[in-house]
Amino acid sequence: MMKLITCICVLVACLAICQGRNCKSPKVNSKVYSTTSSHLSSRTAFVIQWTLDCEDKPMNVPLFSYVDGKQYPVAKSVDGEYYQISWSSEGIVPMKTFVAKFYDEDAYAKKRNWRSDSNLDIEQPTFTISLDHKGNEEALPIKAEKIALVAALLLLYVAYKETSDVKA
Amino acid sequence: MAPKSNFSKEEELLLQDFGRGLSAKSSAIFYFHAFIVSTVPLYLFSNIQQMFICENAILFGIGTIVSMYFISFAYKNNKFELKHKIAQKRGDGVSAEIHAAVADMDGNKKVSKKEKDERILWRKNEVAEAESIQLAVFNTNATFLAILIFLAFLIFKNYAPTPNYAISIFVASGLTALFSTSSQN
Repeated sequence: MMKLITCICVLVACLAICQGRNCKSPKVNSKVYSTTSSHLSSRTAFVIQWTLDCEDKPMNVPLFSYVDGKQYPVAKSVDGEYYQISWSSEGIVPMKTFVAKFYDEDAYAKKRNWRSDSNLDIEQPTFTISLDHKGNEEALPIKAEKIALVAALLLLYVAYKETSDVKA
Repeated sequence: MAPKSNFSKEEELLLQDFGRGLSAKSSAIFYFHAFIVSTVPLYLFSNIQQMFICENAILFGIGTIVSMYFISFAYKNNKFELKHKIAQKRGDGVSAEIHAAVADMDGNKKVSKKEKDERILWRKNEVAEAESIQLAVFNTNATFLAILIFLAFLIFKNYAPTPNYAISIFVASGLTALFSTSSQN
């Protein structure tokens, strides 16, 4: 009898834990950032940060993110309030809207099992966040530090020539 | 008892003018320019390397003070080297200027040769002092900034900002001081 009660309790606990790791009716408050100035940087960085409020207030909701078909790890702040993903691209990125798709465990399992020829519903993310990248400013063809170095060397040459004329 | 100096008053003045010692005005000019040029890297590193001035105040303070010391040392050396050469080059021009000025003066008042020579020497010293200060500052600043940009943005660009600043500023100011100690005989 005791064994049966113990088994039932363990089963109920497992169900409770499993139920608590999905997010129903998510409310998202997000901030986004992308590099717009390319004068002093060689890569374009993108950051999405958000807070997540779910209907049944589950604890420690694991999330999986995809942007343009690539998966990025979702980081969580120490206090558990903020989530963040970030990625970077080499060089200048033209104006574009990135749609980041986020999946909880159930949605992620459906996504992994989804095939275009299956009868399952099309894979549906738990929520999405859009990042409007306004494009990078036009950068000079030569890096700013190289221009500064050439200017400094020219100045050094002029100074050296003046000094040499005096010492001659 | 201290030994008596063997130099006359005129000779002592001459040594003072053309020695390594700096007047208060020259020292002030040198330290002011050294301060300005030593704070230029702060602007570079705070805006480009994103180093916050408040968080790195101690490092920036030490770097600025050490850089000021080395750069003013370089100013002093360069100025001393240049002043003699400039005085030799400008000698003829200054003499002509004094002779012309004396000739324009009232004809009744005759200027002795000794006084004329003293005026020429004084004017030569004044011109050489001003020109050597400006040229020394220009030369030293150009050397320091060229070395700093080369180190900070090419050699050590992949280092973390803090060691990048520390190494760049100390090496750049140290090399500038070292180059100033060379002399052409």
